[in-house]
Amino acid sequence: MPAFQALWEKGVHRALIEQGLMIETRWLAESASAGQLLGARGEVPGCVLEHPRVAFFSYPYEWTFAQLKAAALAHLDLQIAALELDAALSDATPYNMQSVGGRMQLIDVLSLRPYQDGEMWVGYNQFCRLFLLPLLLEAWSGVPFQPLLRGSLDGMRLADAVRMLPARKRWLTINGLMHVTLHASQELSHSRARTGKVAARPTMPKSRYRALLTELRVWINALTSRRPKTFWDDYAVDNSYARDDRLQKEEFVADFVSRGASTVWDLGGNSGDYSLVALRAGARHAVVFDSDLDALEIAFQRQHDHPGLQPVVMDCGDPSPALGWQQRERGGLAERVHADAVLALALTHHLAIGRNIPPRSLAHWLVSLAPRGVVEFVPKADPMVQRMLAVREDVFHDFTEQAFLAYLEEVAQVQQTRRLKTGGRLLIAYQRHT
Amino acid sequence: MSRKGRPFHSGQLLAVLLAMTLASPAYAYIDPVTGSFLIQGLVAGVMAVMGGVRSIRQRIIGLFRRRRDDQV
Repeated sequence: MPAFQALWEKGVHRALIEQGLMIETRWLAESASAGQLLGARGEVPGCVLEHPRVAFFSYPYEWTFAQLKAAALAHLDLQIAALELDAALSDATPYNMQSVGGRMQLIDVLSLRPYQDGEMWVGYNQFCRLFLLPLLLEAWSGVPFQPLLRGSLDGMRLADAVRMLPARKRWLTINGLMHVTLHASQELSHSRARTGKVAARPTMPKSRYRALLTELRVWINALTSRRPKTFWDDYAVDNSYARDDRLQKEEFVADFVSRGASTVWDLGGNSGDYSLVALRAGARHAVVFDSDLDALEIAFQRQHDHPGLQPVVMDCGDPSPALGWQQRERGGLAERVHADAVLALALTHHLAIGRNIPPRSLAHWLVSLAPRGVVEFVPKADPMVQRMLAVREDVFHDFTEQAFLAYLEEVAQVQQTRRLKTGGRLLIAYQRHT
Repeated sequence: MSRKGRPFHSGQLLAVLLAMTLASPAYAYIDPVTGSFLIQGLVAGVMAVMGGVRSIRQRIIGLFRRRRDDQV
């Protein structure tokens, strides 16, 4: 608390907030409500800070390469700017970075503390495990990092990473040699050591600290993904939808959103076409959930012009679980439910037929996510579904429009439907039973 | 590989030599972060040299650009 106060009074937080690197923060020192707030165990707070609400909390294993890279660059920018103001961060985790208004910002304002002369970067190892190695895995080996980060909240171990990253890059580039190969060898040799003297705490000059940060920034800024192109990337262009159908869907979604939906979850939203329709129709925030990384990279590029758009890497058939200590550190999707409405367009057949999700369970799950929604039922006669069924036995006896509507009506009221001109698809707007 | 093959960057060579000559003293640490701490000084030193080289290179490039602009 004294450290925070010292930096606050020095204007360090304000400077970082004005540079867009830290979340907007107000100290409610004089506020009447501040005195009434208590901690989880009845503690009286030393100070009460107020931030704008983060529209949707997402985690690094739900980010694309470009999102993690943006978070890494924002984190380094913040550290470089903080160091100029004689402040340092007590950790270097992407879990402290969140997308706020379309920009990655530090949300853990209490992790900022005064810089001690000669101190080293305490978060260096953590930065490598959680930012650098996942980025290198995709930039050097072309392998998506999300499953690995979802597997461990501490990130990738350096010893494992050296086995996954190409030796040529690890040995023949200075950055690879220093941050990966040498770093891993030191980490390994110290973890094996059992006896010996305890070394004095090492120090380094501030200029070197700054050089470490700035050179990492230059390197990371130049990294590009080498991941092979994904299948669904061409979906928006090369699919079986007729133009008329798309226009009808856009009109239906715009009408639905304009009747009041501030936060919309676009499930299986691809590159965010219908999320943009929702934003234009009055939604303030649209979260695009998809498992296709290339489609989400496009959505992330669109975020530049549409800050309300937020891509999230998530397979709707296998949503993010609750993770960490007591499974309470990082909420699963179910713990983060707060949308006003969901869109599930061209999704039902992928989950019901592609992933064997029972249609009843699917209908109930959709309704559990938000009080209102639009779902598109794709019948078996649709060419896409026919293609899916061509290589497997049709055991999906209750995947019919009639059954799906009946399942939906168990938990919600169907308010409006519209039959699309081609393909026999049905758009359904519903409202959850109260 | 012929002598005319891919040249070794002098900085890379220096870094390889540094890596090979580094001894691994036995400390009583088991925390992997500590290993990072000890190597960090060296890594940061190399980064400072790289930053210096970059800044000199940019100055030289800037000088040539300025001259070319003057000629135009």
